[in-house]
Amino acid sequence: MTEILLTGTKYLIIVLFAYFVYISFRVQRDVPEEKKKSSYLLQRIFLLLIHALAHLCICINIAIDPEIPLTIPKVLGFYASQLAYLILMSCVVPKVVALGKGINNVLCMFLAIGFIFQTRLDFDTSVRQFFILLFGTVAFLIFVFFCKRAKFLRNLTWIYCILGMALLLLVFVLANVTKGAKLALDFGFFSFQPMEFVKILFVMFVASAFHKANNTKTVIITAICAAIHVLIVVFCRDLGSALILAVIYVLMLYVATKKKMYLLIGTGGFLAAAFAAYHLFSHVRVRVQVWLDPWSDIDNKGYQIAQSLFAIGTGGWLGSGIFRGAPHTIPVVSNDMIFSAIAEEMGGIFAIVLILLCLCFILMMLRVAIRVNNTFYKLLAFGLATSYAVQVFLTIGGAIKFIPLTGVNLPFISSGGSSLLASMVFIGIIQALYVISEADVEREREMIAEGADLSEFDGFELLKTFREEEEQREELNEKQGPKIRQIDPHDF
Amino acid sequence: MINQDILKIAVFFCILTAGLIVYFCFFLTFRSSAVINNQYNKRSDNFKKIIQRGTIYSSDDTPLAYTQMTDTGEERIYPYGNAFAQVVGYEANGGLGLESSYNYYLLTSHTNMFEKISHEFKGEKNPGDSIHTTLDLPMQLYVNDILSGLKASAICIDPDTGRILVDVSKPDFDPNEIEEIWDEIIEDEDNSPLVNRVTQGQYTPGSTFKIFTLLEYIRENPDYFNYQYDCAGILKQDGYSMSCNDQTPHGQESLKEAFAYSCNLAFADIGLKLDLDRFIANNNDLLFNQDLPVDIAYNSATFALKKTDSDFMVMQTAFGQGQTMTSPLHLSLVMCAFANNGVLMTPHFVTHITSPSGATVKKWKDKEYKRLFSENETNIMNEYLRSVVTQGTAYVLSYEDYTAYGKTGTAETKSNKDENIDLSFFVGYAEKDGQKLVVCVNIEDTRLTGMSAVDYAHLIFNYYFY
Repeated sequence: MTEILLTGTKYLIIVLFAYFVYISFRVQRDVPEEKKKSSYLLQRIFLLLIHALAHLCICINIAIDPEIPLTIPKVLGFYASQLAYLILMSCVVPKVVALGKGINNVLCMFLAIGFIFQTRLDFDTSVRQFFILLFGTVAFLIFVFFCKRAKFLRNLTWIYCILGMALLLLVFVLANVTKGAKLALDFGFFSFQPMEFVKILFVMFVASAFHKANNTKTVIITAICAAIHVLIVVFCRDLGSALILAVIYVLMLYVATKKKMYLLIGTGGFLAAAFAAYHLFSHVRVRVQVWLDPWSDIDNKGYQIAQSLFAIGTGGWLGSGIFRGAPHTIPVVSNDMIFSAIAEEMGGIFAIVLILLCLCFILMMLRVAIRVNNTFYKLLAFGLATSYAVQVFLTIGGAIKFIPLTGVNLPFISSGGSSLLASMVFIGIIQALYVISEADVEREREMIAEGADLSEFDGFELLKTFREEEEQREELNEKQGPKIRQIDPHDF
Repeated sequence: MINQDILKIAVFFCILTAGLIVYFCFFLTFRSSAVINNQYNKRSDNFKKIIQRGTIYSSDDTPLAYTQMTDTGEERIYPYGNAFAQVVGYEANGGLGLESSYNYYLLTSHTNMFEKISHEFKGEKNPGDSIHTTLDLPMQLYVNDILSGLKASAICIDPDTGRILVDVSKPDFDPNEIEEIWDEIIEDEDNSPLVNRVTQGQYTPGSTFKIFTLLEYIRENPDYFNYQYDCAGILKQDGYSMSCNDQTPHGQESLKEAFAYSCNLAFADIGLKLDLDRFIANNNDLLFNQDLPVDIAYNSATFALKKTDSDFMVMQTAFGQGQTMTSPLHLSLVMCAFANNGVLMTPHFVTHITSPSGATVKKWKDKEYKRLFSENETNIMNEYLRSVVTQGTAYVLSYEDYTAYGKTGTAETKSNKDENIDLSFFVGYAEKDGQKLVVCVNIEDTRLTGMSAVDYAHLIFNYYFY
């Protein structure tokens, strides 16, 4: 009987999740916010339902399997805290702070999936993760609140660059080697991985540099700085992050300059770098060999990817059910390999839907980038979206042996305090940009309504006009007092 | 316009995601079942909850291991106890032997849908699939019998098919009681009963290695038959000394005589004449330092000679001392190729898997693994291997109805207690009326028996052919 209940619940979760993702795609349509209200509500209900059902499964399993080292009261207590957080984050916060509800609901879904699996994999880590999330949420709110007001952010080009490099150098000098790479600064009671923040700083650096001036000089200077960033990361042997930074730079460069040539140079550079890395670094060769054939050295180097494939393959389409798989056989499962654990226990369908949700999240961010007018914001949103997209591709692609393993994690879902903190800051910035983009779109509509012919403007010309206008408005606003947010009344 | 570029990148991300999803689906649909059938996949505990482990059968369909329901739960029964200890292995404590290699098949059920549902309603487990092995029950029992009490191992392979008929390793243990005796046997380093000496044993090959040296000499010297050596029984040179068995001089001898009498000094001399680069490369082709194509845990044979090694090391290695390590499995695979016109058939223990209703689920065909020798080389080598029987150290085999070929070997090694012990090897094959059998016997410590490996091989051939 319990088995039927468990299986039924599992299928229900898969169906609810698939529908959630469907709604998430739908809410990106260009319709007034009022019409999306019911969709947002449905998203929140599904989110809380999935979270509750998964915990039901966890509790049933604890009850029938004495080998699980957890007690129901403990799990329920933690569940209640998570529930309180999710309700606060998904229902209350959007009423108090202006932000994109679609993005926010997807974020909450990621966090919920993260908690379900972190609890299943290691309860104590999950609790610690929860407290870090509380800090992260404070940071998130600060960024949502202040990012859109802090106009000076776009001018701090060199501060971002120097801060980023300084953090990286600190890692290079001070960090101990773990998992073959220098990643974390150890402060005794906690360790801190600056890389997660450097990605954001790097995006801000490139965005502000191209915001200031979009000429060949900028291209050369940013290219040099980007190369220094990437090289330090390469020397830390964190090749996944190096790849992420490089891709971010090339794509931002392309979008900022609109020159396809840079894409070609970037691709060529990537191939050359990959070739060089393959011949220079033995650990790169090992990664590639293990990717091509994990089976011949399954005991040692191929172990992690083989275990990941075992997990995914054994889970099949419908999954073994929570607590019914063996994700602990995969090294670093809660971090780099969380996708495999999810695929094993929730099944291939759920995993595919999760990939689609990640895509949806990427598109939501790119939508912000398209709708926002200011170049800095545009590039910032685009860069952050790229950073997230590459990271998702590397993690999931690595876990399923589509590409070699690079050892990056899945934001919001994987364990890791620094990553979660940085991801919350990241999403805080995105939300701030969302609000700005909505204001911009509103203004555009007004202009059209006023009879301005936008078809004559193009690209940066249009942006320049907007920017000047915007600055005038700002001055006006500062004189007039706090009437900054003129748009989106239904956000309150 | 900048937005169009962002859109292009958005499309690019969509394509990447589509790539991920397509690959993921491809993996789950076509690859996963082959991937997860791997002994390193430790998810069997979960299957155990819903599937009753299948049966392991001998070649005549007698169960060698099966699961029985008792009052207290399930019990795994090994009706022949010690006789198949290492090869069939056991399920508990991490698994061993075929029980471990074929764990997934035994815990997969191809029962039909209706039965599955009916089992679920009754709260019963689904019966797992069964594996059908190549192991020859009466012969395994016989070999088990003659080797009992020794530290020894024997393997028999049908060289035409690659089927492994016998795999006996002594000392042994009773897999029925594995959990009770576990602590005792894992500490028994003197006997190491858990080691399947046939596949995992690593031995100095002794004179059996002369097969490789001889082959290399023949390959490098078209006029190999002109080779002559005057053996004085003992060779002292540059401060080292080497000798033939008992320091008895063999006198003037041809290559064939040197091989048949197993003359160490002649082979030391041959060793110095070899092109070491070629020797090393050729030995790697003969499965030294390579993965062996077998579906059970094993250790690779190692040939560690380097070009920079001293002459003394080269000479020692050439007649089978030195740092070379082999296993009975490795030697018998090489012999299989001699017995099958130079072609090695993939050695295997399992022919097919059947569902609980008896339908064949999966079948392993006898297939060629690799050609190790050209036909010409095979003919020459067989002539030499035959001479060992007709005029050399395996003379005991010459009186029989079957035609035997092979090579004996004795290696001097140290025991755990640092005593000098003699390790006795025989690897060879025999044929009669188109039937062939490759046998490799290894006796770790000849002091426990008055017989050497070739005598046991003799018994095994007689059992098989008469």
